[in-house]
Amino acid sequence: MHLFISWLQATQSSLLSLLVLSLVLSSCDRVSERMEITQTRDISTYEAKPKLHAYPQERFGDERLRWETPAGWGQAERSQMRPVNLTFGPNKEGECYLAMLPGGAGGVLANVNRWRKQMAQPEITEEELAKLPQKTLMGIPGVFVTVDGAYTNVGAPEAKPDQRLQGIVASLGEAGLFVKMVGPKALVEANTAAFDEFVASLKLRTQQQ
Amino acid sequence: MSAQPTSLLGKAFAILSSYGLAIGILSFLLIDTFLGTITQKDIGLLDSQRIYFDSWWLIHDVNLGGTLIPLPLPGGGLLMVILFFNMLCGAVIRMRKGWRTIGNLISHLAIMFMLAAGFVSFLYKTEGAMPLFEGQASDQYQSYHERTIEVHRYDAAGKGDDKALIIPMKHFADLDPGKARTFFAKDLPFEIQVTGYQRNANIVQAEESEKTAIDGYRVQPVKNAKEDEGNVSALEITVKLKDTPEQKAILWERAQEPFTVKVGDISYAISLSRMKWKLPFAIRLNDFVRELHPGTMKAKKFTSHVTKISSDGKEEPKVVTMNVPVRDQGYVVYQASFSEGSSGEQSVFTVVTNPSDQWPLWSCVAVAIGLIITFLGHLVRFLRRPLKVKTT
Repeated sequence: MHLFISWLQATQSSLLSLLVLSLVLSSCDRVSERMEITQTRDISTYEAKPKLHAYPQERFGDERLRWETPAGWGQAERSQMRPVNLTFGPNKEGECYLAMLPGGAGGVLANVNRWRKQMAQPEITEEELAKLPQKTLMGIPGVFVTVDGAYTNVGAPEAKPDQRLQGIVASLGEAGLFVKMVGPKALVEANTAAFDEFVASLKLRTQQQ
Repeated sequence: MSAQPTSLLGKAFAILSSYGLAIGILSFLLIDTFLGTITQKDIGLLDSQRIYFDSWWLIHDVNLGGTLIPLPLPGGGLLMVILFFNMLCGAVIRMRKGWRTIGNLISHLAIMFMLAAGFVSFLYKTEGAMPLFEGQASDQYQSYHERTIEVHRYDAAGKGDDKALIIPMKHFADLDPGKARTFFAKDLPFEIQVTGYQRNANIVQAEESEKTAIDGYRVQPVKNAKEDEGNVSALEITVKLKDTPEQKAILWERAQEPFTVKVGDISYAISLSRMKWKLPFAIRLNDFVRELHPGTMKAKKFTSHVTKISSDGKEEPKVVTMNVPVRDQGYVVYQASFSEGSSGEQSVFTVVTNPSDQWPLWSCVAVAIGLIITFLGHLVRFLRRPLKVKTT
């Protein structure tokens, strides 16, 4: 009988210990304001490699534009003002970007003259504008502009000489659509075919695509 | 009549082994099961299970004529732990041992084994989905509910490490907007501050005037889906590098690509995704066959013809169909559902690993054996009972 009581007491102690242990275990792994990352997971060889350095638009599936980057061209930092921003040339001296402005920024003539002013060239009139060649941008007819001169970028302290700016200004209702390419004249000339290729590839993605 | 215990331990043992406690526990389990089942239609299976069955305690709001009365109740987890000890003390330790009670003892031990199976399953079971298109192979499955923040390192050549660092959901799910937590690792050249976790959210373009916008986007909270599988979580991170400006990003479960941080030649892909587990073998879907009931779109049978690829490259054809899973090395691959899209038919498998997978079956068999012994014992004793002659 004494043995049984001892066994019973030992069992009771074990039970209490078990109960306490289960309560302690359940309260483990408390979170704090600074925590070390200790867990890892094995990467599967079947797992597709993600695209590194993707733009936010690509990450969130918000990419409405589709285009082909010409061979030898690179991608530059994009912004809301420049949803497509490309560079070209051995030292990325040339830049080519697409801009879309809901308000149109004053219309086609105002924009052409703004570009001419950046190239230190005089403004043109409506009649002269009408004589400029046309190119299609994303299915919309636009004015094709080529201006040579000294280019002063927005915010730049001084002008760069011997530059060429070529681009398309198109409008759809009140919205303005622009592709602008600028860089050293010889470099831009050499990349005119690539410019046409880029402009032809620009499309707005439809839901089915 | 046995003497009443006088010591504290003795009294505790008497309570723990009492019928009264057993009846109380079973009554509360009945209440929890009833309320949990009723509430499931409003809050979904996962939350109902978490609140009513995986908890130590809970508060159920009782609606009395439009007024909500909070009713505190013991949770299913607590009740099952107490029930285990109640049976151990009452039906195993205290019960009179002998041939007459052997069936009872077996049945009670088997029920305790079933409770232990539930506990092991709660701690170690993993369950997730493995969707595969025809011709596609995979050796991993992803959780239906558990989210993680992953940090995967890539070298200058773009080759990724074999392992990714992960922050489990329990370490950031409490970080509502305004709360933040910083995570670090010894091999990581930066710290990650996490904030603003939303269980269900969209990512929308922000207005230019919005100061809280990140990269032109913001997190838009959405009402939680009834079933957690439908939720798409999002959060904000701030990557803090030494001697360089902080980088902010939104992580979203449905993001198509990770956020990348570059430190020197090394790139770190940071993403919010469902927890993924690796299998010790791979499954390749060769053909998916869907049979429908004639004249309806109701599924009669889904069958997936697959190849199981062992780690040594050995290939073995298998058929996974409804109620006929493939079992290997403790993993069970079930046919769960299918989806159809522009990329073709996709078979969805559920993969489960559970150390106590077969324990409930063994437990039920043992309970049945115990009950058969008990009933046969009663029958034999009844038959051996001397007949009393009725006299009028």
